Amino acid sequence: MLAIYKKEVKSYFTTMTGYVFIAFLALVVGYVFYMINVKSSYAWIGESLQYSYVSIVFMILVPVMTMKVFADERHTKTDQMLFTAPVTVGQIVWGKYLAILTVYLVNIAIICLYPLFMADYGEIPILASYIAILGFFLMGAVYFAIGLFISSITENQIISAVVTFAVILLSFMLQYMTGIVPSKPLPTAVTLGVCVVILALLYYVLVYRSFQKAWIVSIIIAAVGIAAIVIVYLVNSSMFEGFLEQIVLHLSISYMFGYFFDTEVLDINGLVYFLSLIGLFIFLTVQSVQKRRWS
Amino acid sequence: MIEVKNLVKKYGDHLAVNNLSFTIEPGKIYGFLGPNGAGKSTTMNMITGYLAATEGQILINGHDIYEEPEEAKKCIGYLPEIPPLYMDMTPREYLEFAADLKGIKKDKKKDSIDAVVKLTGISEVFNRLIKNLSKGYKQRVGLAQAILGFPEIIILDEPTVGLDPKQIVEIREVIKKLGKRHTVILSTHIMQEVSAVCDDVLIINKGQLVAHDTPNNLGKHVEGSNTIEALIAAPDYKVKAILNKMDKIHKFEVYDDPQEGCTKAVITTGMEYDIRQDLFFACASAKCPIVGMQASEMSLEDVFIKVTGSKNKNL
Repeated sequence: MLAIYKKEVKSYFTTMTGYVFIAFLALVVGYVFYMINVKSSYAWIGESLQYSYVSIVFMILVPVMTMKVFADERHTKTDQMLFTAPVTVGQIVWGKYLAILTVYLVNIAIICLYPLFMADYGEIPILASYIAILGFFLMGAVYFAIGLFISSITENQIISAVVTFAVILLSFMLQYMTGIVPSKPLPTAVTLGVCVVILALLYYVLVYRSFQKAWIVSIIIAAVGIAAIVIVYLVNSSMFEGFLEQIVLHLSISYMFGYFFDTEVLDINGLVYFLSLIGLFIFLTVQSVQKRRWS
Repeated sequence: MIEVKNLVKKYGDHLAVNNLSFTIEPGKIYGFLGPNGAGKSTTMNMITGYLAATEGQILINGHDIYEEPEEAKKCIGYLPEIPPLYMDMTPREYLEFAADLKGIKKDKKKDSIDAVVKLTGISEVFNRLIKNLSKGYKQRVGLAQAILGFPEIIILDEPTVGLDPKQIVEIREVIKKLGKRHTVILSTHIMQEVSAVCDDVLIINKGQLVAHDTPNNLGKHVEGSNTIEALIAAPDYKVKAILNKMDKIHKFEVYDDPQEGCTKAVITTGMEYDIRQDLFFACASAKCPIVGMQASEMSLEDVFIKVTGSKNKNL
């Protein structure tokens, strides 16, 4: 893993990618910091980190960092060297992921200096500031994990970049799109029922070739799901109130960053939420790389 | 030692490798032969653990490539069809990365890199970017990566493609040297290469093993291998009469030769029997001089075309 990590970090700094990323992110965060914290005299740095400019920068910079990671490796056939070497796929994926985070940490280190600068001029909520910076780091880490996964499913760098951009854009926009889902209990229950049926159908479509009894399992999934929804609705229909809105909000990573990391108290829910998203996408990346060998 | 048992690889409905079984003994050079699309590269990719087999088992020194991939992969050095090179690195950086990846210990790293650099002759380009190197040098850097750390088994997929004749000879020398201490498998469709370096030949076609023998034996084993062409200065009825009297001839054919008053006879005999002396005395007693005679032993090309059953220019 160390070999791949070292090679990746080196490659970010022998090409322009690493420098462009660091410089551009530092420029934007620095500018927002200047406008909000310095000129408008907000003491808490989270105010600028949560500013929407910064999220938009991630849409452009994350694809720059992740688009070539697996796509290019497959395109130039160098993946043959990695996957025939005595290392596991997990080690390869983690090596590459940690290398990206290392480049990102340069920016985090720069941001960590900002509260110290401000501390010269007045009272600063130091703890809350660093919690916000931690959250900012985790938010970026989730975006990178998503980008890594998308890079692993395609052979084309451009597709990888565009899809990553679109996914992060969508995730950013979802926080303003809660109006598209119903919030009253009955429509919510119906929508969830439809989702369960779609899930069951999806299962059938995916496995019917290899598993003959797939339709039975599929029907069981749909039946159990719908039964559970009906029972919950009959027992306590208010549980569905705003349920879908919450789901949509939880898919918006930049919204969740603001939601979890804006107090002096470190919210463990937030840590768990971000770390599990990272774990999920790293897991998916490993699976998608493994799957390619079997197809 | 590699044991391949009932290997099957399907791409969708297409059967790329069909129930392939063979054993590779240590300390020999194996040639892996077959027309394009025969499944050579697929088989090699499965042996090295890059692709997973649909069915079947591959044991590398007793380690299953899917159950204990790390142990198995440690025994193998692999040069794929397209050398897996990072264009933005110099050969030095590239080989250092390869050494780290293969888990070569720090104190041995420099020595093992020096050894492969010397063997493959890339010392003069050692500090230039790989993307600026010629195809031949790129191939050599790839080869250096494969043999780095001198694993027991070295697998080379078409190692001499794109090299000039001098380089081909040099690479073959390297392979021969390696074959003294390592097991080498190389795939190729160049026949001279097989006769020049290989101890053993595996011919596969449409994903199946169709022949497995030494290059010399392969020629003999195919029917029609022991054939003689004789040019006799006599009319064809006389030649027929002589040949009909001789035993030990399986079959013969007689053609009129463009040369005035000559007849060409193509004579096939049993496996190990040399008919030439008998033919000389038979013709001499009938006073029909033999003008020319040559044994047309089957070349590897012919064997190849015969066993792969395709007469088109797949070669």
